[in-house]
Amino acid sequence: MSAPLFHGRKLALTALCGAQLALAWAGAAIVTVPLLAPLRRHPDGVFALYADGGRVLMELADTARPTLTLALTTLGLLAALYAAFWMALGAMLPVLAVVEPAPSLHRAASYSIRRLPTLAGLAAIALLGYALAGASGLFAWKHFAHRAEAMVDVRAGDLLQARAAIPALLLAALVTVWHDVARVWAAGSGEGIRASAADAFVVMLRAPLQTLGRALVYALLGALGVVVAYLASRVFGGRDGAALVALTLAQQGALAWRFAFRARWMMHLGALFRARATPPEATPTETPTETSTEAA
Amino acid sequence: MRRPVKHPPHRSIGPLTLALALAASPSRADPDVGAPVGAALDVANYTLDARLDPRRHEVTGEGTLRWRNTSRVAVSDLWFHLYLNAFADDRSLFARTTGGEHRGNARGRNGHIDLRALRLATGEDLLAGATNDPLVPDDRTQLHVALPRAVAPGEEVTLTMAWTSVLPEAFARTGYKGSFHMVAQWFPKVAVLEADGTWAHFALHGNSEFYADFGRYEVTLTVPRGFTVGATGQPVLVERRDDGDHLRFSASPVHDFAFTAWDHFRERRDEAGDVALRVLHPPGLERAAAATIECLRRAMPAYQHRYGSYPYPGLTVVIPPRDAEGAGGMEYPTLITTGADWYTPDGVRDVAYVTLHEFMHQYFYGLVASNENAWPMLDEGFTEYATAAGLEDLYGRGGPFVDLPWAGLRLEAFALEASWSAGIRHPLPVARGAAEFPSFGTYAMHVYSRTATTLRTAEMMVGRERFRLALRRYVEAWRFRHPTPDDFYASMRDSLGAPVVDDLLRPALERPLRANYSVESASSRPVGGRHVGRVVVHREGDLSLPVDVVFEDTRGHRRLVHWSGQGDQVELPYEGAAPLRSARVDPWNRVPLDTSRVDNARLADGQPARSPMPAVARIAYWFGLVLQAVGP
Repeated sequence: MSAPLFHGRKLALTALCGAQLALAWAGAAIVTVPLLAPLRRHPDGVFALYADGGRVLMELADTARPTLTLALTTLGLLAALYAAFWMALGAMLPVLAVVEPAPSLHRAASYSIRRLPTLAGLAAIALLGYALAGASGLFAWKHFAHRAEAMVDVRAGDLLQARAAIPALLLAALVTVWHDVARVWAAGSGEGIRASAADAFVVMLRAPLQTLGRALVYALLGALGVVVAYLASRVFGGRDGAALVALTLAQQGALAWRFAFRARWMMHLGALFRARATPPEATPTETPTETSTEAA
Repeated sequence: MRRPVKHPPHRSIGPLTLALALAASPSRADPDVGAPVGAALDVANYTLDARLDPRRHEVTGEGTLRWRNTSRVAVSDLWFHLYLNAFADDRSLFARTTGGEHRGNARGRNGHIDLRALRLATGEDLLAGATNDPLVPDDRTQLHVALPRAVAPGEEVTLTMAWTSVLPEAFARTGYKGSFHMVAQWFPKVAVLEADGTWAHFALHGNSEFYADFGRYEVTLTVPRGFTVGATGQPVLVERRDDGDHLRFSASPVHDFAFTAWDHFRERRDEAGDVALRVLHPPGLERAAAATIECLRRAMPAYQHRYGSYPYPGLTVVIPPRDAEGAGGMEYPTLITTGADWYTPDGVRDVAYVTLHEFMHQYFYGLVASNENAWPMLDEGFTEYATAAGLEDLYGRGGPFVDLPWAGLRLEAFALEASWSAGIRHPLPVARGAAEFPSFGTYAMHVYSRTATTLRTAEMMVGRERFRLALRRYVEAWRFRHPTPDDFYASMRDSLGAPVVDDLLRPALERPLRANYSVESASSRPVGGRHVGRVVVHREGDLSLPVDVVFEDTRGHRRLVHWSGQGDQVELPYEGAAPLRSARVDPWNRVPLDTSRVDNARLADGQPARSPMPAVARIAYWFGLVLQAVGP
């Protein structure tokens, strides 16, 4: 991680990352703790799940259906809360990325909440984009289904269908990049939905390497963490205490690693915005965006 | 010992292909099949000539049946099974008991068998007076014919017959999909005449399979050129004529004949010891075909060690194409059908499972030819047990069916069987007819899982080698014969003694039985520098088997106590230098019939509860990935 990009923002980003990890643990606890309550008095605790060839695991899965329903309902509520949180604080990363000097977490949050209408509008457009990608993927999948069914080689048929869905996946990736760029531009310029959305398109068209190329690089680098976590799970297995600690560290590290590259991507967009907002010969100063936004 | 022959892959039948097939699998005119005294190997002998029309999905056949009366009484009638009529309409017993769906596959085009002629070789027509079973209205899967004169014990009678089989769309083990054809239950089959002169005939029920006598099959098939054929037995003659390829197969002693034909089959050949292996599979499933070969090469020697020799020179495995899965997962003599996908990860052993299962049917019903309709546990249940044991041989303890270390998931075949057995809410006796189970789900849980778990429990109680030797003795004694559950119990009693049969096998298979062992309480307190306490172990249900109980103190020292299992519960005293930490009943899972394992172990009172955090940590990672995917 290069220091300048994160300068002054490390604490806030760490807090955001911590909040995300904590939320994952909370969700996992909501589902897991009631399900595994019968094992609290078992001498092996939850490690009994791995004993007897999965017999205890299957027994709990069979007997704990009512508990599972309750846990999943609770999890659904938590997901709804998270969606609201995401909507309201969706510009936290973009704000941290674009505002100079680096704002505090509190100021970034309050700014993000004030920009809620714009963020919600951009999110709605992004959702439409995802829906379009999904529909086009489904259409392509079904369109090629007949050809795939006519193929005697089932593997080739399946791969044909899968390849047909690749454009939809690319479209979804484009929507994600566009949404990120639009949010950074909305946070930086203080403009509304239409202007931010249009600016994002223009930026992506004029600087595809700086946007799409970088997005791909950071996404791949972030995915490296997941690969490492997968390898760690193959090495450690996680069926006893020490191995589980090692595996947990590897997995949580992978999540933090991914978050770091997500943040770095946003910081990169922030730098891109500032570079475009400031004439090359001018000395970069504290951007007026926060002031103008507050004025707005 | 034969010389190993390597075969290149090839697609269609031609002179070269069949020459290779003949070289790989020489026919055994007089096979030494290891039949015990009393086995009847030539009761129902068929000579058939059939032509497949792949456009109309029809098989037109004619031939002779030479049948011998092996009972103690003269008979003046014959019963036939016309299984294909199970798919004739919605009124057949099969249709009524499956609701148009069989093992997840929906019924498509109907099929039926049109028996055009049935005569004695001396010319008398038998068809004119033939009737279906009046006790099963609207069902035409049985045919009763009166003979003009009685057939004395030991006497033979020869019949000629002609018929047309209209195949259904692939469903319930038979049928077509496109140009793929799995032709099974396709010709008139004479029922089994039991020793007391009773005909074992039955209408085909949705839960039921088949029952037939052994004999020699000489079958000539005519298929269009370009079709690859796999069939029961060995190809002994091939001719390429203008009207198609003519292939003659010979099989003996077997009790059924099925074949498959498709113009898109890929083929893979190998050998497992003395047995020629042939896998016919759709393009794209080369990996599954290789896995099938690998599985059989490793498993067949072990199975022959366990259950006696496989008496045929070849085995053909058919992997049906997609959308013809209804034809998969079935066994016929020397020919089995399985199922596979190309994308299944290595740690999920569905190909090995289905391959081993169907191959094990070569023994249970293939050789040990029990009545599948009357006692399905003797074939499906025993096969299920042997499948899990085979997975255990190949992949280690318990027979891991799913083994994905990266996901922390290992599901063993025997544990799966025990779980499904434990999941039976309203237990029924297992040793009963297929039609007596109210649904296929209930049938499967009892016949497959409860039986397999009962046999596993017996194995755990008496010791693996001793039990497997006893099972081998049973198989060897009943090869090419028709055992009943009583025959099985008698064989096991001879090998293992009466208690194993009377206290475990018979009650577990013949009574609606439940069994649950649990540690009800565990506690200790300091007394004079020592710690004393008690452990209460409870037994619920009718099965009373001896079990071990292990005490563990807080220093990790363990002490083993034995409980006879008599009575509903037992109070076991504890005394040790350290406080009691926990107690476990049946710690090594020697009673897989135990319906709950969660309550088999318990921390002593006062010991801190175990934290769920290790599991939370694993789940939290996956939640974290999801949150990152949808988060800001």
